[in-house]
Amino acid sequence: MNEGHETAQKSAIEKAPYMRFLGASMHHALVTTLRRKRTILAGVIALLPVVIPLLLTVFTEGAFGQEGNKLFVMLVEDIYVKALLPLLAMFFGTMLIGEDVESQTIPYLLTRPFPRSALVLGRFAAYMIIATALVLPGIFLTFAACTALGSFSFSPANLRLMLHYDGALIMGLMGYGAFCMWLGAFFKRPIIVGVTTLFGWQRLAFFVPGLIDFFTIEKYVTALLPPLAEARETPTLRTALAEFQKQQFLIGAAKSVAALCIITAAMIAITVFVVRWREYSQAKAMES
Amino acid sequence: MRRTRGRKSHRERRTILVLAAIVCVLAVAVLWARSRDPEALRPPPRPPEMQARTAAPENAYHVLGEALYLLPAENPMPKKYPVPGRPGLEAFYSTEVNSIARELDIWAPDDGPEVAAYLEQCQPAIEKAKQALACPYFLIPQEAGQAKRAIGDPAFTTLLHASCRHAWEIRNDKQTALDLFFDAVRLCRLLRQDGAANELSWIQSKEQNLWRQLADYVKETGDPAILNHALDRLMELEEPPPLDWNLILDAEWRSEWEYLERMRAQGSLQGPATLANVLRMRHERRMIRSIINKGGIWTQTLSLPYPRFEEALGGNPGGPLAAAKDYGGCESVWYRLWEAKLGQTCCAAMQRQLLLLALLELHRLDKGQYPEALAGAAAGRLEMLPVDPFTEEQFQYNPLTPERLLVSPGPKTYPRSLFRPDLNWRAEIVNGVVGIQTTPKED
Repeated sequence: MNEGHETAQKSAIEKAPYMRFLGASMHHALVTTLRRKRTILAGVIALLPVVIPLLLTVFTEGAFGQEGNKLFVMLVEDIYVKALLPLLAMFFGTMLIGEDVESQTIPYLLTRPFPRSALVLGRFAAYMIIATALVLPGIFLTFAACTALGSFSFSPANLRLMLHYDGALIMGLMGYGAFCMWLGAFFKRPIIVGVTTLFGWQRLAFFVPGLIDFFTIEKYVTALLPPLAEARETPTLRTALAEFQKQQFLIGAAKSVAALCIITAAMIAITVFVVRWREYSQAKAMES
Repeated sequence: MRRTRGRKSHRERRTILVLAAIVCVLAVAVLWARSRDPEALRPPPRPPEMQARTAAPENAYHVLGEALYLLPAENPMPKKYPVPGRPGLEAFYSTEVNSIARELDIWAPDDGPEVAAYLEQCQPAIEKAKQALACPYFLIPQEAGQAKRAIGDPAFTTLLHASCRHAWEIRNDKQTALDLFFDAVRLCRLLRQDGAANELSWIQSKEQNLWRQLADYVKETGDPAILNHALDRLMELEEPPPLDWNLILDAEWRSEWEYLERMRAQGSLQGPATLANVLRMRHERRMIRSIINKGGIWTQTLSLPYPRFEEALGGNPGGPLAAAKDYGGCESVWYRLWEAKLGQTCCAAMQRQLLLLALLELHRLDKGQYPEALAGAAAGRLEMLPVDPFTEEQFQYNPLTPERLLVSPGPKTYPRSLFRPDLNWRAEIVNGVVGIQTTPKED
C-alpha cells in the first residue's frame, strides 16, 4: 500500500512542473489567509498610521503643521520599520506553517504529492503578496496624508523617497517573514519566541556595545532607509552610572540587501529542512 | 456542496472588500485633508505691501530694536540707606508707589544718584528711540516672537515718562521735561499702529497716564513760558488717524496665536485646549469680519464718531453689544474693540481738554481769573474750539468750580457694565483726567 502510494506521489511530482506545485501552494495559502478575520485586523493595524497625519491636519497646527516631511519620516521609520514590520511578519509568517502545526492538519498536507520546498516557497510567496498589499497602500496613504501638512508635497523627489521606503519595507518583510515562517515551523509557541526575539532581542542588541546588532534583521533594514537631512539617532544607553554612547558600525545598502537575501534564503532553506525532517504527526492528531 | 463553496469564496471577497473600503475611506479623508487650506487655522498673513513695509528700514520697529541694545544691561544694585529716626541703622530703600524709581525698578529715592546715573546711562537708548519718531510706521514682523514683547510693550514710553518726571520734579528742567513728555505721547501713538486690541489697551492706558501727568503739571505750574511751550506742543500734536479695525483684528489674532504657541511650547497648554482656543478665535473673527464686511455697515459703524457709535452699539441686536456678550465676555474681540474705541476717544478727550486747560491757565495768570466762556480763552489762539469727542458738543465748562473746570460726561455705556450690570458705571473726564466711578444700582 505504502509502496504504491509513494510510487504515485513520485510519478505525480515527475509529471507536474515545480511551478505548478508552488502556485497551488501559494493559492491555497492566499485563500486560507484571506478567509481569516484577523487579516482584516492586520490590515486595519497596517493602515492606522495614516490616521495620525490626518488628525494632525485637523487638530493641530504649529510645530507639526509645518513638518509633513519630518512626520512622514518619523511614521515610516519608527512605526512601520520598527513596529509594524515585525508585527505583520509575526502575524502572517508564523501562521504559514505554524497554523497547520497548531491545528494538527499538517500531516494531511504533507501527505499530498508536493515537493516540501514548493509548499514552503508557495506559502512564503503568499505571505509576501498579502503583507506587501497591506503595507504599501498604508505607506502611500501616509505619504499622501503628510502632504496635507506643510513643507511636503507630491514632488518627484518626495515620491522617490516614498518608493525608497517601499523597497526597504519589502526587503524587511522578506527577512522578517522568512524568519517568522521558520519560527512557526520549528517552535511550538512561535509567537512567544517571536515577540522575545523581534521586540526583546533586537531592542537589546541595539544597545549592547560591540557587533551584536549584526545578528538582528533590523540592522539591515535600517541600513536600507534613505539617508535624510535629519541625523540618524545615536543610540544612547542611560544607566545608573553614566550615559554610554555606542559606537555604530555602519553597513552599506548593497551589503544590507545581500544580507537580507541571505537571511531569507537561509531561513526558507531551514524551514524546508524542518518541514521535511520534523515529525509532526501526533497521537492526538492521528486519533482525530 | 455548492452553497458551502460559495460561502467560502464569499469570505475572502469579504476581507478584500472590507480592506478596500477602509483604504477608500482613508483615501477620501486624505483628499479632504489635502483640499483644506493648511493655513486655515493660522492668522492671515499680512498683505505683500504690508510685508514689504515691515521689512523696510523705515519701520520704527527696527530702530527701536537697535535702541533696545543700547539700554544698560542691569539696573543699579540696591544699596543700604540710613533709616530716618534711627541713627546708625541702615536698610534697603523701599520705594513708594508712583515714584520715578519704582517705575524704573531701582531701589533708591527719586532724587538719589542711582536714578540720575541710570537715566544718564539710558540716554543713548532714548536718543535712538527718538529717531523712531521720524519713521512713518511701526509694524512688528510676524516672526518677531519674544522680541515683540520687548519692543512692542511700551518700555520706551515708560523710560521717556520717567525721564520726563525726573527732569520736571528733580532737575526742575521743565522745558526738557515737556519735550520728553510729548516724545512719549508720540511714541505711544506710533506703537499702536501695529497693536492688537489687547496691546492697544496697554498703550492707550499708558497714554492716558501721560495725559494725567501733564494735567498735574499744567495745574501746578504758574509759569506762563512753560504753559505756552506746552500749548505750542499740544497744538503741534496732531490727533491720530482712526484705527484700522481689520488690521486690529488680524493683529489680535496673531497676538493670540503667538501666545498659544508660546504656552504650548512651554507645555502649559495641551492639544485640546489649544484647539478649542484656536477654533474660538477663528470662528469669532470670521463672524466679526462677516458682520464688519456686511454691506460695509459695520466698517462705517466702527469708524463713526463716538456718540453715533454708541447709538449703533445699542440699536443693532446683532451688533457688538450682543456679540460681546455671546462671544467670550472680556476675552471677546468685540469687547476689546469696544474698549480700544473707548480708549482712543478718552485719549482724544484728554488731549483736547488739556489744550483748553493750558489756555484757561494762561488766561487766569494773565487776567487773574478764568474767562466766563471757553471762547474767551481761545480768542486769538485757536480758530475753533475743540469739541468733546463723546458728545460732539463743547466740553462742560464751570469757571466757578476749578476742580471741575472742564468736564466730559464720557461714554453712556461703559464696556465693563456688560459683565457687572449690578453697578452704575461712570467714566467722566475732568480737567484732562479720566475718572471711573462705580456705584451700586438701586433696585
